[in-house]
Amino acid sequence: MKNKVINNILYPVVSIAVALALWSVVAWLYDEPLIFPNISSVMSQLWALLGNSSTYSSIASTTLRTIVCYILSCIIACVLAMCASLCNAVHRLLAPIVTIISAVPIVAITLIVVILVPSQYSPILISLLVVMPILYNAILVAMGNMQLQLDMAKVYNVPTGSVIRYIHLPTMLPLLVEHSKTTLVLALKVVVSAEVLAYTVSSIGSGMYSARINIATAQLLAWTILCLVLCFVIQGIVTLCQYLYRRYRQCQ
Amino acid sequence: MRKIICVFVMICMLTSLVLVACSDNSSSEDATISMYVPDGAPALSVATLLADGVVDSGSVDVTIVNSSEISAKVISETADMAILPTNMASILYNSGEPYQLVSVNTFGLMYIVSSCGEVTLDELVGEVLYCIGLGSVPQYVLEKVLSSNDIEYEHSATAIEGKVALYYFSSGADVIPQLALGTAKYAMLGEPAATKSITVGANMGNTLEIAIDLQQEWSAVSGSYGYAQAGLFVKTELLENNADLVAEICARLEGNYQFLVDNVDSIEQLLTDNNSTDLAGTTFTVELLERCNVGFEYATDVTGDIYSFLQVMYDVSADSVGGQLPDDDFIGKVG
Repeated sequence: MKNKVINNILYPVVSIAVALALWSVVAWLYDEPLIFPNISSVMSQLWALLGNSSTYSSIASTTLRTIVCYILSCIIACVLAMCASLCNAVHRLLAPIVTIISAVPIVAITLIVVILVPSQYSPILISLLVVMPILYNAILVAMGNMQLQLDMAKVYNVPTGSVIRYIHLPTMLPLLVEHSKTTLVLALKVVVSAEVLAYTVSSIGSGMYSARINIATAQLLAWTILCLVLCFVIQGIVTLCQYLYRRYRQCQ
Repeated sequence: MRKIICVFVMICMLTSLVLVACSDNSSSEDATISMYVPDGAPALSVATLLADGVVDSGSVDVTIVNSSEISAKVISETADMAILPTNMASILYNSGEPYQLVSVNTFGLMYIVSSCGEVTLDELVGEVLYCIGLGSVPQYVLEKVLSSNDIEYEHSATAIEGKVALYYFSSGADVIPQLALGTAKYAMLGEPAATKSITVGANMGNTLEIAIDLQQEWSAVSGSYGYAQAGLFVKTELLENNADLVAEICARLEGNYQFLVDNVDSIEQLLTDNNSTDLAGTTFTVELLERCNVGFEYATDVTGDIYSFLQVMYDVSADSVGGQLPDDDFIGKVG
């Protein structure tokens, strides 16, 4: 119990306190609020943002984009991985494309998609192109571990529907739940950076953009803190879901 | 013990990082002063100094930097003088940077390019206008012109009945392909991107033309042609202690437009030799130079225009001028 308190509370508090103290010292030494604002001005900007109703609609629209992107990525990755595991040709055909998409720098994808797709949707597509290959590869690896069962199913002529229901779905679902924490946070990060480059109206990205263009660094940091909080909230919700899922599995 | 040493080493490393970040290159005092200018059309406004920076009482070393770096040059006080958008100058002045606006050097270069021939502002209602310059001068000018003409607008990627849909992009490079391909019917671009789009469109079999001069539309609204888009921001200390040098530089800049016209064929070379990437490959003509609206007015002569322009931006967003209009000392007097 004592160890738990030290590990989970004392260490994080001390490290954040040291970081904040260091920040104050640097801000004080640097003495250029436009480049390195002090904590109190960031907090007052944060307070001002929280008092503005458009901030909430920005947060909501960015969160919505992240969730849509995550759900679409899951669906597409699952469908593609299932097809790939059922048919070797699909697997071989997809392999180079997935490799290329995951190797291209995110900013290159962003710059190209921004021209092609309206700015409300481009962050979703960009994030999808980043998150989907990760999920697809993870699912494929898990499927590889199920190869014996899949071969058995083939030998015994099990219908495809049953293969999907009894082998694919039970393999994929826990995997998606397990990966959801990291991929959702990644999706959020990519969505926000895409919003900055795409000038998406009413979004966290556009808030950061206008703060940057007005050299309002304190405001930019305030948006960053909001993003961090959003990340923690998403992670918290996912942890809760994972817990509930595990309970559900135990009950079964 | 080892733990303590570990923590100590970590703190030492962090502190040294901090100190490195804080170290400042202080410039030595001599007759050579530094001027920074953002890449693109603003660089045109100081071309004569790029060609030859020597004046009677010293010399000026002009550096073209990416437009996103220019404010950092002023904040760190690396720049003795810099060409800045007037609203950015106002932000920096309001935050206590020891600089003053001495002159206005560019007076707007925004144009609406159309792939459907002649068009008026009213005819843009119900259409999507591809734009650049969100959060900076182009946005404020365009939206002020629209609202002064009682034309409603909204930021949107799709057409809206009864309104102009403004669809913003980060640069002309994103908009030009869409104009050339015909995806975009109308676009607001700055020169020389507007001229470039016409060339690119022609290569792809799409006839484009400059349909609306926003500076003219602005003059219909405000009474003066063009607006104080960017100007020369000079360190107050330099203005006080070396007024002759500043006056000589300003005198040279007064003749800048004539210099551009006289050297129209070699400007592109001059700019690319000085690390301009935005203007590389541009074919300069006298017509293009005219549309760039590069000029020179002492800030003391156009104070009213500067403040009325800042007021327009302040009305849209107080942050865009640094929270408030700058006080009278914002305008620097030469000599």
